[in-house]
Formats: sequence, structure tokens, C-alpha cells
Amino acid sequence: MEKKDKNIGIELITRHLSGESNAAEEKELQHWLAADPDHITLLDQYSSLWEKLGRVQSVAGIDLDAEWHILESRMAEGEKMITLQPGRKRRASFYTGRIAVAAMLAVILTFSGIYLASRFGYRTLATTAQPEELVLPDGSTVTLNHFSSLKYPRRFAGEIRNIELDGEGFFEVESDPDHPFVIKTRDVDIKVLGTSFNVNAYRENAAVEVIVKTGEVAVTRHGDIPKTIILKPGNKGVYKKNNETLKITREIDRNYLAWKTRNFVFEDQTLFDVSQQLNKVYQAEIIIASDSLKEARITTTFNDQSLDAILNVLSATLDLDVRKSNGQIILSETN
Amino acid sequence: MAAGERNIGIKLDKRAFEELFRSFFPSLVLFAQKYVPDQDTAKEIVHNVFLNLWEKRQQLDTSSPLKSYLFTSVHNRCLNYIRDQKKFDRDETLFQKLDSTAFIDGVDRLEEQELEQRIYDALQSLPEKCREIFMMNRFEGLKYAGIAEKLGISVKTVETQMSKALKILREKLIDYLGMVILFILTHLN
Repeated sequence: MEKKDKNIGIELITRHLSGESNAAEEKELQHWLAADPDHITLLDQYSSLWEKLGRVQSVAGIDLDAEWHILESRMAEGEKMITLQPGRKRRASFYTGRIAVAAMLAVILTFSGIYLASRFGYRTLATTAQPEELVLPDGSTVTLNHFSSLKYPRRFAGEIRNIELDGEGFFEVESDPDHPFVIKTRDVDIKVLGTSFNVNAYRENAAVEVIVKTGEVAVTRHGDIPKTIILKPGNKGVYKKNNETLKITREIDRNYLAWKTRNFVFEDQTLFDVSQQLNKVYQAEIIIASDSLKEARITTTFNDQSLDAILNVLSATLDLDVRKSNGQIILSETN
Repeated sequence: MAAGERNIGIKLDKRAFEELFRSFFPSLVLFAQKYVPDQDTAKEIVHNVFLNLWEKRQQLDTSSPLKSYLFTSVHNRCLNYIRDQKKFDRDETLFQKLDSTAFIDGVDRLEEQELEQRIYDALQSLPEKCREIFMMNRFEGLKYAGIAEKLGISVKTVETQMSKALKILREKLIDYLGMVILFILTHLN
């Protein structure tokens, strides 16, 4: 009986503290408090707890996975932090200071939107050697290629479905015209309403490439003079980092999705080209022993096969010797 | 032994380092936020302290616990930040920050930090769903109905989880809840 009474009290206290109780419940709470001095102690404790929790409010949403990911990559880069140096000369100090602040801001921004986003409960998926598939809170699906990362909210709030990509991903976005889906990358933003497309935005690449499979996609270049292009199915948008140009082309590598599907179509391609594509998709290191062999031409298709199966086909077709050593795969002509 | 009680002299491998980072990052950010104007700056300072610790892990040679090393480093970097800002920044709030915080005894701050760490850890110990619901109400100010709608659950479930969260948190933090808060009583009566 007593325990049940206490539980009722805790329910009343909970409603009271969380701002859910109506006038009748507030009255009920007062009656309950008046019944036993211990009840008052209990309310004191809960109120104190409620208030003290406020102290950690600003850090409660920190995404430790994301933060660790940032630190880990900085550890790997062995990157030196930028320290704020005040100007030596009095006169110059104002400007030096401003520059230092700008540099600090740049560093903060470089270490990505996680900083701002994590407050609102962001998660990060970071892949290593294997691509991974992910369903976002709105039902959209993303396949993330190797060594890529995607930051996305625990739930989409507000008008725009914002996510951030570093690396390569194939997106199938749930249609929702009222809530545009925006993928932010370092150099360009990609805005869509509901469609499927591939984004290749590895930081180290010289260009960002967006290839549209279905629907329409808008790609916007960052910078002082933003520029937007609209891509339709079969279009590829290319942003070149060196001259900051953003252009549409129709030259699409037919195997652009092979990293996801492992389906390849090769038509009269050199063995060297084939090996390059296989290396990228399978994270392999195929080496062709002779220059003449690099120029050997091949026409074939592969559908989601293992690298070994593919090597068997190549070896049978071109009469090759396949040798594995120290993680490398060496292709040579049979003697 | 908790990661923070380890001494620096003990080998700090990457695993131990990650554990250390995960246990102390939030409370160090909270600590830094008392000195610097925004969370981004606080995070940057804490990241730099960890990065520095990692880079110097071979040369570190002191018998002090890692925890006080971390807090002292963050403290010092925050003061450097304020000092450097002060030289060129005309923003009054920074002067105020400097006056009100820079010379406070570090000991008080560490006790305060201890409490915050406990609160944070208690919050993290809640079952995930329970924590999510609780944070939406306590920190985002959402009503039960709003939470229920967002998560696709019933209002009753939200209510149950809210009470559950508070019960667990009370048990974990009971030692810190001794103070009688008179204004609540006044308010009620």
C-alpha cells in the first residue's frame, strides 16, 4: 500500500517538474505532500535533481562517437593545433588578432559541422574498408563507400533534411517536397526533393562528382559567388577544386556504381583500366607486370562476384598468371 | 581502475586513450565553457589538450593523475585564450569573463566538476530510449504529447519513461540531493 502510494507521488512529482500537470494534479500533489513529511523530502530531492540536471544540458547531446572520430583523424594527421598568438606590436595587434580568430574559426569549421550539429543530436557513420548501408530517420537510404563518413540527425527537424558527407555515397531519397534533402560536402551542397544519385566527394580528390540516376538534383558551389546547376538523369555534375568550376557533362563512367553493386561492364577496355577499377572497388592492389599486358583489351561483364572469381575469368580469357604476394596481386603473361 | 586515476607514467595506448577521451570529454567541455564564450571554442580547446597529450605521451613523466593533468591543461589554455582575446578584443563580455572567472580558486571548480561528471554519467547510464525521452522534455522543453508524436509512441509510454528516468537518476545521485529547496514549498503552498 505504502509503495503504491509512493509511486503515485513520484508520478505526480514527475508531471509537476516536467510541466505536464494540470490544476487538479497540482492539488493532488499538495494533498500527497501534506500526508507525510517524507513526501516533502522526496519532492525536495527530485526538485534538486531536476535543477542540477540543468548543469549538463549544454553537453548532454554531445555525440562522443563523432568527437572521437574527429580527434582520431587529427591524431592520424599529426596535425598541429593553431594557437592564438597576440600581435607583438601594439598597433598591429588588432588585425593580427582578427586573423588569429579567423584562423581559429577556420579550424573549427574544418573540423566540420559536427560541432554545431552534435548539440542537436547528430550521429556519424564512418566506414573503413567496407561500404555500409544505412536507413536515415526519414526512410531514405544511403550506401556509403569505404573510408567515408556521414553525419545525420537522430531525427530530421525543421524545413530541411540536412546531412553531411565526406567521401562517396549513393543516395535514394524519400520524396517529400515540403522538406528538401540537402547533402553538405566541403565544397558543394546538393539539394534534392526525392531521387537517387551518387555523390563522390572524397576530400583528397581533385573534383566532386554527382551522378543522377532518377529525379532532379541541384548542386550549389560554396564560396563568395555561389553557383547552382540542375542535374537530370544521365547528367554528371563536376566541381573542380583547382579552378572552382562547376559544370554539367554527359560523360559518365558506366561503372560508377560498381563500388555499391559490384556490377561491371567492360567493353573493349584495357586490362590496365580494368585493374584500376577493380582496385578501387575491392580495395586491392593489382599490378600488371608488363607494359604490353597493360594494353591487352577485354570485353566482359561481372555481376557481384568476388575478386578471386573475377581474376579467374581474366586469367582464363587472357591466359594470365595470377600471383599473390605481400597483399599485392601480380598479373603476368604465362610462359 | 577508472581511466582518469591512471598516472601518466603508465603506458597510454590508443585504447586507454580513447577510454580517457570518452570519459572526460563532456565534463572538460563543460569546464571550459565557464571560461570561453561558446561551446565550439570550448570543444576546440579540449580537442587540442587531448591531441597534445597524445603527441607527448612518450615524454610525459609525472606522477600526477591524468585527470588533474587534463583539467589543469584545459584551465590554462582557457586562460591563455582569454588573455589573448583581451589584448585585441573590445568585447566587454570577455573582460567580464576574465574578471569573474580567471582568478577563482581551481579547487572549487574541480569539486563542481566532480558533481557535473556524476550527473552526466548518471544521465548516460539511462536506457537509451528512456534517456532520449527524458532529454527531449528536460532539455528541449517538449511536452509529452510532442515527444509521443515525434517518436511514434503513446503519451502513457512517455510518462512512464519520464518517471523511470527520474527514479534511476535519483538513486544514482542521492548523495548530492540533500539540499532543501524552500522556494518550491513556498511556491506550492
